[in-house]
Amino acid sequence: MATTPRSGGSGSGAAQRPNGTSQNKSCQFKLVLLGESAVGKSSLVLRFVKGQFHEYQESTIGAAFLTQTICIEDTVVKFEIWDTAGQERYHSLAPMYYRGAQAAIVVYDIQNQDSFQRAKTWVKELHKQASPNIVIALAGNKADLSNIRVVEFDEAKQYAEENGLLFMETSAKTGMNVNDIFLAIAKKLPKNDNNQGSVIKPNGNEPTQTTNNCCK
Amino acid sequence: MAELKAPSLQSLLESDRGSTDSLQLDFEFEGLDDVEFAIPPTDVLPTLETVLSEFEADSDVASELGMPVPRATPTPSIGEDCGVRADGRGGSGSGSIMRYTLLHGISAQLASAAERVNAGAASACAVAAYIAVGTSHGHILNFDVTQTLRWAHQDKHSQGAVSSLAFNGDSTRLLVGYARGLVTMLDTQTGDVLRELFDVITPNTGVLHVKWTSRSSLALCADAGGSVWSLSFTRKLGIRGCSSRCLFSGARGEVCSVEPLIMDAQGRHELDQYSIVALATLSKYFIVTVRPRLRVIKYHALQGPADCLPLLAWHLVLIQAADTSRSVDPVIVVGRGNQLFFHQLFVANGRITLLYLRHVQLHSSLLSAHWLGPKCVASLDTSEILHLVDVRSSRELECMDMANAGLVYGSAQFKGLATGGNVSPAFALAGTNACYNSVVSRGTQLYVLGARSLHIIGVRTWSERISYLVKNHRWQEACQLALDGYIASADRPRKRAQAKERIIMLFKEYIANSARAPEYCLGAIVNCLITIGELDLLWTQLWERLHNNTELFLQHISEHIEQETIHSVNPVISQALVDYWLQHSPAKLEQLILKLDWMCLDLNQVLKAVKRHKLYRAQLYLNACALNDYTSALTELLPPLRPDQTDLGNCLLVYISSCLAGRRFPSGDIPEEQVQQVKNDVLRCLTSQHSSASPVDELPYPYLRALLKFDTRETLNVISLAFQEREFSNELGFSHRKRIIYLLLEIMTPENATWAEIGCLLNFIAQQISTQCLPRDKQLLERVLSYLAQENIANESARQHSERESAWHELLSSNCLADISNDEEQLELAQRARCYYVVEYLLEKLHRYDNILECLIHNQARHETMFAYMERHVSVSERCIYQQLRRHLGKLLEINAAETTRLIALHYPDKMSELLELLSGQQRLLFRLLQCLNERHCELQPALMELLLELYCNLEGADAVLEFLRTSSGYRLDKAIDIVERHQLQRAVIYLYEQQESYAKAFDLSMQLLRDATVDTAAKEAKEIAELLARSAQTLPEKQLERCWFTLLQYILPQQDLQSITKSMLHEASQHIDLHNLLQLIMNTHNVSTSFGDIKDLLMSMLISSRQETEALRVAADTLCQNLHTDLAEQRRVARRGVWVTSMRCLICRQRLYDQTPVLVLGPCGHALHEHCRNEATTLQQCPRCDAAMPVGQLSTLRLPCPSQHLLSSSHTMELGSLQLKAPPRRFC
Repeated sequence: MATTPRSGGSGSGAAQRPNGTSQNKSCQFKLVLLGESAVGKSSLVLRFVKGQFHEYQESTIGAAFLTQTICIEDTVVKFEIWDTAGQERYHSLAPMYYRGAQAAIVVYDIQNQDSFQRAKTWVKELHKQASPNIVIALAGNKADLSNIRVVEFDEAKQYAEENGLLFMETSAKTGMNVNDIFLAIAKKLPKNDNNQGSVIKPNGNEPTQTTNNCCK
Repeated sequence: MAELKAPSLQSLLESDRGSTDSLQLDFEFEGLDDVEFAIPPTDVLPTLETVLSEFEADSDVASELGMPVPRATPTPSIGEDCGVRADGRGGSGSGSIMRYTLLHGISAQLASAAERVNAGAASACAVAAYIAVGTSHGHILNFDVTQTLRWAHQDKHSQGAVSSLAFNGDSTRLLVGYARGLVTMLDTQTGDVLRELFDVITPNTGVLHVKWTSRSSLALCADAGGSVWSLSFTRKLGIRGCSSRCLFSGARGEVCSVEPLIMDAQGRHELDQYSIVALATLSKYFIVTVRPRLRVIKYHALQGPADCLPLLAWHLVLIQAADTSRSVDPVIVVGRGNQLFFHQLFVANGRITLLYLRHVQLHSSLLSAHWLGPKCVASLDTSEILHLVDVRSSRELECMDMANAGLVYGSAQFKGLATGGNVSPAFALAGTNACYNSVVSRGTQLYVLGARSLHIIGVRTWSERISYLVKNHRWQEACQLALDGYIASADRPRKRAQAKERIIMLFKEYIANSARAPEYCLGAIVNCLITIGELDLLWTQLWERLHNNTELFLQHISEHIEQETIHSVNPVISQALVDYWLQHSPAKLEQLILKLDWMCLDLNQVLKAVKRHKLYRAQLYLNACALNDYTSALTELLPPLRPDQTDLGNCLLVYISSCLAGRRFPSGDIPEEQVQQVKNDVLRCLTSQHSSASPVDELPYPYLRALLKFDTRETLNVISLAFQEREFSNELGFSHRKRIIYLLLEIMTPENATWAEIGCLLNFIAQQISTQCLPRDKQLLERVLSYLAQENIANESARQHSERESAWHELLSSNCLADISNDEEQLELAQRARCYYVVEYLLEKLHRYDNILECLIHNQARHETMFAYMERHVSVSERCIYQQLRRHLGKLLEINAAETTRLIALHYPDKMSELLELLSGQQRLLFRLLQCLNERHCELQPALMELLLELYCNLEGADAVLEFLRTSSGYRLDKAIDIVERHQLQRAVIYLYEQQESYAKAFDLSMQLLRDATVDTAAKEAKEIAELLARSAQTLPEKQLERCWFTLLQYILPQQDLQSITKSMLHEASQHIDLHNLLQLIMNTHNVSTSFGDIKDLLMSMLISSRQETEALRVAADTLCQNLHTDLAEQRRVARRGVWVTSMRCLICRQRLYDQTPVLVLGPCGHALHEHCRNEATTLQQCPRCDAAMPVGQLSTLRLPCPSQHLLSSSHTMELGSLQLKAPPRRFC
């Protein structure tokens, strides 16, 4: 289950650990996955981080944490991914994770209209509650089953454009678009060095503050 | 060490290169330093001269106050990499504070000068912007800071060795003193001689010190005669001159040390207008102002060993007074022997004052004492070990062995060898340890001059020490030092930031250096980063380079989590941490989870692991805190709970209790807005009729049932605690309570629970009702009562019974049972249920006191109170205490005889006989009573005592009887003997005979015992008889005693098995009986030959006593004779003495004394009386006339001659002159 950041890398060709002498810039981003339960959030991350796919993925409790590092041009981007649980009872946890996140992927199941509606409410919540310059991507998962789709590509695409989201239909099973969507997010994220400090900092400090707020 | 002894070829080469370099670059050495040796600019890294302690911002404050801090020379560029000899002795910094450097360039030049131009060994040095070294043949070599020789000067006047050198304030002039008295002034730039002063000091003496004062034209010079001279330099019309004046003449105490105060404060200090000098002789030291006029400010005595010179050194120090005012004032350190005294010099009310600050004692005598910066004093001791002493803490920081430096001593100058030795012996003796001119300080550096070398000891700053430790890969110490510095800077934010930066730098150095062994000193560096709060570095840089050796790292992190220095870790680390501890110790993982902020945990991973490894606490904690789900863990954990899972069960009980009380598990509080919800949720969950899974065979209320099954009592405790919460106290709360109680009753049916458990519940209910926490429901009460009044409950423990009783009692006292039955019925029930506490209560309530004691007797727990009760009510007649006491006397005695007896003796002494009568059938009880009475020292009648003795004999052993006889009296001896004899207690009989003083009988009986005794006990018996006889020696007639002894000895001596005691017996006997007879006895017994050793002592003692007696006789005769003789002599003396009688008449009868009757002369007053008159005034203590004291001895009577007419007339005819020639009569004295 638990992975160290270095153990993966086989699935994503771009993933590469920086070596000590490299003069590449390096950035670290906190990314959160949101969406209804059983839309394939954990599978998506598993495909991205380890290149694996389990037909019967256990449901996530609370939230899971994974890291993955990729290279874009001369920048090393390290993703700290919080894969939240989709079940309704864990909904109250989500703000802890998307607060202070630089990127979010909202996932829905293309066979499930409800999950798409849920995704929309997530997007709304993110716009309202999350940091204003958060990069949001919308992922229509299970694209390998497009023959029995319910949510049309165009409908989702249109919604994404209206709300300024990145959009891709993905399949954790086949690996389609999985790396691409993470790469797209990485590209869209600000990577200049000046930003780096402010990028890393909230990761270290803000979560503790939010915890204090919510638990007191 | 090798490079210290002699400059190696390498170092010579280096120095050559160094000098050529610097020649080309001339004065741009600072640039060279920075580029070539990559020395960072001074504003980033503190320079050499800022001391370790200045890190604590003293220099800053000094500059704020407008005091320039003295700057030392820049770092010498060569010889930096000399090996540092860190001496382990006592230094807590273990060699990282002091930096030793050998100045190769200068040393090489000194060596070559000695070889090539016969300059001789170095003898003195001075350091300012230049370094000047004088030699024993009068040469002076002047070096600049790059160790380049600028010029050399040779004395042309054959003035001997250079004894002292001094640079002036701006390093333009060099003052040189020679061993033969010449003082020269040189230009430091060119080496030209500006002044040659031949006659400025005492003629025919050498120069000891030359010093510049704070005035540019004024210098001081001390000579070997002990005088101090002031040299005022003048330049009139371009002609240089000098006038010298004697400040202090050696005739009045020889000055050994001169130290002017040079502050360089440029008028910003009040003392700046004065020119102040400290002088020290062998017995005192003085603080003197030279300008504006010569005046002694203060002097102190200075004691020390004769071969130790006084040491003086000034420094400006920031002083923080007790009232937090700060000032920068010069502080002088005065050293002598192994003592260092610190005094502050300041201006108070217009007067210059010297204030004692502190005193430091070192282990050995000192050669030198110099300030190295404002916090440290470096002192070299007589074994050439350099000690660095922290002034504030008076602690030795570090020491360094300087023996290899080959230190130059100035003894020759002090002994005046160059001028014919015309110095005082004390001065010469003290001078053996003189090194005033070969150890000099500048800033934070100490220069030590060897015969052909010059050494620098510097003090490293905090930052430099870290660098040094890092360079030597002593990471542990480096980290510790860095942290110390960081912690010390707690209240100075700017310093703290700098310290933090330095630690981060240290961390980077660590990262760069420890790539090969990433685990080396990991703990220290982790500790550093955590302390300064740079966790990101910990998580990223340090973590990422560990690759797969994360174990140690994780352990360190875990330690810090346990110590609660960190609460949150990077999620990456937390994942690794969880994995690691899952493998090694899940229990530890649980503790860590409980201490960590849940936000940093991978909940998916942790929750699954926790469930798998049954870490209940962590599960409860995470579910509650992270998921805000306070019930799911309960529903999951409760149904499978078995009574033997105490850990889980207790944990759940605590959890439920804290949830119901609004507390978070395991610590903290539930957020205000959630409390209500949580309480409701938990309560609802507990009281839910069926579990969510709801198996077919499930009994109702599975969760509560599981808890009750696990531990009824504690569960009920939890519920009763919860009932105290606000939620249960309103109207709705009461109905909740009621509902829960009915639930409990429904669960705890006899089929599903033991009687003990049900008892718990009913007790609980009774308590709740009586404290009015539950409505008084009749049905409920009846049910409770039916339990309480049960006559027989199987396996009921004492605790349960007493709980039952107290519950019943509570109900009664809160009057809850009045509706159900009246007190009489209750009494009936209680008696049947053997609830005596309840019975007692009811009887008390019904005022039926006559049986209360019975209840108390039955109730074991109330026995203590029973006696108190009796005591309290003894005088209340309606309580019938006596009657009850009488009735239950036997039982009471059994329960506590002492207490009972006390009661009887105190309150019913008159009823004693009645009570004794009562007990006449029960021997044992009677015995107890009598025994207790006897122990209370009641006066018992002899008959009773004898009865007691009888009982003792019947019931107790022989020893007890004897003990009783010994400790008590009051029995009649003859009766007692009768009783004891009847019981054939021989020993007691012997004792009693002895008491009766019938020793003979006692002895006979004892002999009987001895004869009957077995081999083992015979010796003891015999000893006892001997003791008996010894005791009887006072009373028994001698003959009889002797006969007894003989009987005993005659029995003992032939016995082979009693041989061990024969000797001691004989010894004992010899004190009491005639030795001759004893000896005869021994001779007559058969085994004499075998026991000669035994009688040897006897014979010896006989001989000794005989000798002693003879001796005593002789001495007595001597003394007698002597006394007789002295008496005679005294008598004679008295008789020969003349008596002076001043009165003619008797004091008493006023008749004439001269009438041929005996006369008493009273004493020195010369008054006298008739002896027969004395009888009338028998108590003559003093003379009745003039109160003069009587002489000590017996008053002597004498017959005064009757003066015949003839004599009178003849005396009348005598001339007056012849009478005067006679000596006057003597008085009594």
